[in-house]
Amino acid sequence: MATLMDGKALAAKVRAELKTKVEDYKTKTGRVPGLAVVLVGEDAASQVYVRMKNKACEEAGYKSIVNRMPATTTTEELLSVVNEYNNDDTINGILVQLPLHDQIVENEVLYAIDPKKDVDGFHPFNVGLMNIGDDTLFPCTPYGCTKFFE
Amino acid sequence: MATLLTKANCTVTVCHSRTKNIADVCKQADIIVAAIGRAEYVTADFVKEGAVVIDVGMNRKDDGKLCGDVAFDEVAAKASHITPVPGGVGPMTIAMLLANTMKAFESTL
Repeated sequence: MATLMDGKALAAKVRAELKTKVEDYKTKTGRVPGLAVVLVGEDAASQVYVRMKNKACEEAGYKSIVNRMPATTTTEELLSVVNEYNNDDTINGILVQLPLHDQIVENEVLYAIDPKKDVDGFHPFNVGLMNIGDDTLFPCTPYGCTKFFE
Repeated sequence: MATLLTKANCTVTVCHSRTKNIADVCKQADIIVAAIGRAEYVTADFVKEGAVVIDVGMNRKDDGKLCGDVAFDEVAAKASHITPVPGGVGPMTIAMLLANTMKAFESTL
């Protein structure tokens, strides 16, 4: 019988380490990491994911914004929200929850995220850096898989 | 996934839904990462004795229960290590989102 690789326990350990770091930075710099999550519409699975991301951020002491936008949101409206977070110094990560509705041009939105704040690791700039072997923001799920081997 | 594993010195073969003899290819592997999006697709005949199996899949069965892309019980009997669904890769995704946000924050200091 195989040994179980417990992602819940490993994730808890990573999050606890991050929480300690946040407290440290807060004392030293007065700043904490900030994540903005944008959710368009009311997809049930997406709502669960967004809630879990928000909870994880709050538990670790991050600044966490959840921006819930109506299902009728246009590409332009979403771009303007992304730009707002691009220019907000208290926001270090921007995540637009996928999938997006058909009226929104998904790539246009994902490519508008500042690559330095692209914490999903989906921007072509970051994908490019990863592919040439540079350090950058890696996509969370595959990155998380590699942590089981460390 | 393939890029990150290559970076970690793995020799990576990418299989997908159109790959011929997919079970035979997977049977060569020391590590299988399953993300094909089909419930319990990876069965015991895909898996070499002692392989490590990572299950990225998330599917809901007819009885409402969650399952991965790996047929857990029969694969667990052959693998040396395996991730459960839920409670395997999913929580790590969120942890890495926080880790990435921390990294992005640190780059501004």
